[in-house]
Amino acid sequence: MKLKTGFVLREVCNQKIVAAEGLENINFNKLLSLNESAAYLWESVEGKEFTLEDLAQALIDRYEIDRDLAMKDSASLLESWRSVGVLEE
Amino acid sequence: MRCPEWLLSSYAPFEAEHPEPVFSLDVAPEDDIQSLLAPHTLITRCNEEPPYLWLYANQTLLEVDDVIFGFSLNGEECMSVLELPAGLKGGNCRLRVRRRIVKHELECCVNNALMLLYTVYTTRRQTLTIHSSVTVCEGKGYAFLGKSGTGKSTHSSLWLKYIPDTWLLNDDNPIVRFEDGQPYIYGSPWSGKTPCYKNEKVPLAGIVRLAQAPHNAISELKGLSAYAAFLPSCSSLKWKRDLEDCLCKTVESVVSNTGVYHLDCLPDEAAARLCHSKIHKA
Repeated sequence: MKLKTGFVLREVCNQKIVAAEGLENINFNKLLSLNESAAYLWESVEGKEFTLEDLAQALIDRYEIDRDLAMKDSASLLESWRSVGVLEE
Repeated sequence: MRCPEWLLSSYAPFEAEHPEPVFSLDVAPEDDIQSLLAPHTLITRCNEEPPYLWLYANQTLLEVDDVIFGFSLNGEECMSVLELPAGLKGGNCRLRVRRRIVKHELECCVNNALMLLYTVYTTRRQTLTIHSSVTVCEGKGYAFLGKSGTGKSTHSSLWLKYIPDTWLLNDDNPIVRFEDGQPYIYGSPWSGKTPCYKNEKVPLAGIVRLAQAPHNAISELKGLSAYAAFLPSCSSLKWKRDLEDCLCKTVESVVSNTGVYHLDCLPDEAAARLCHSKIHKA
């Protein structure tokens, strides 16, 4: 899977957000607020093909958490990205 | 073709003695708009109601010269085509309008082209074209936001009726500019159905997003909530990353330096009084 093109991560009012910019998603009018680890994951997979395991590995590399927790957190993040429609599968 | 006087009457109050143009628009009649557009792909027709903005793409969506804008009052057919210089280098733009066009449709095409160009060419100057009805109370500007039909103009008219020392700055498309650490709001030649073209500038003291409700209630928004309340009312063409970066920065600066509120309201006197008492600080 990958992140859809046309979504941009920005820092606004000291928070990380993702907004649709570009003509590909002209009717997407939500702002997606990301916490620090979600923003880190977004940046680490932006523009590339990736899997659930890639996200979990990125979490392990940065936060030194165990694999089970990393997989669980990554899966729930993916689910929220999927539900707002920023994933291309 | 000579520009008829009636077409520019809303611009007359803004005539400058020593203008420094940021763009120019050449308007030319065109016999066959449809074949002019034929090589391009329609991306989308924006807006639920007139005036319509048509976006056409050539190949890639990433370069300004590959996007062509069209305007019309009817939803079936694009009546005019706006061309911007490649890469926005220089400000010479051209609007080609169908030769046999009725007066109010020509007016719509020219006004919307000028507003779009104004937005594009001032984005880098910390300037926003917003969708709002604006009142001024004791020298301070208050911008009411909301989707079409929410009651922005109605709320403004309630301020004019019930709040002393209040006047209307603009009823549809005022200009906001962030200057020397403070946001200001200006009148413009575009004011929707209300002919209110005021060449005036006041500090922007409050931004209020309106929502129709069976009661009146107001709350202040901070940080990201304030940003998210204001952003959808700022005109953006969303097709050039550096312009979008500038726009987001300006929006952030504005909401960080003025009060932003959400108002649930009825179209009544109490709504205007509640809103005024909460946001206006003399």
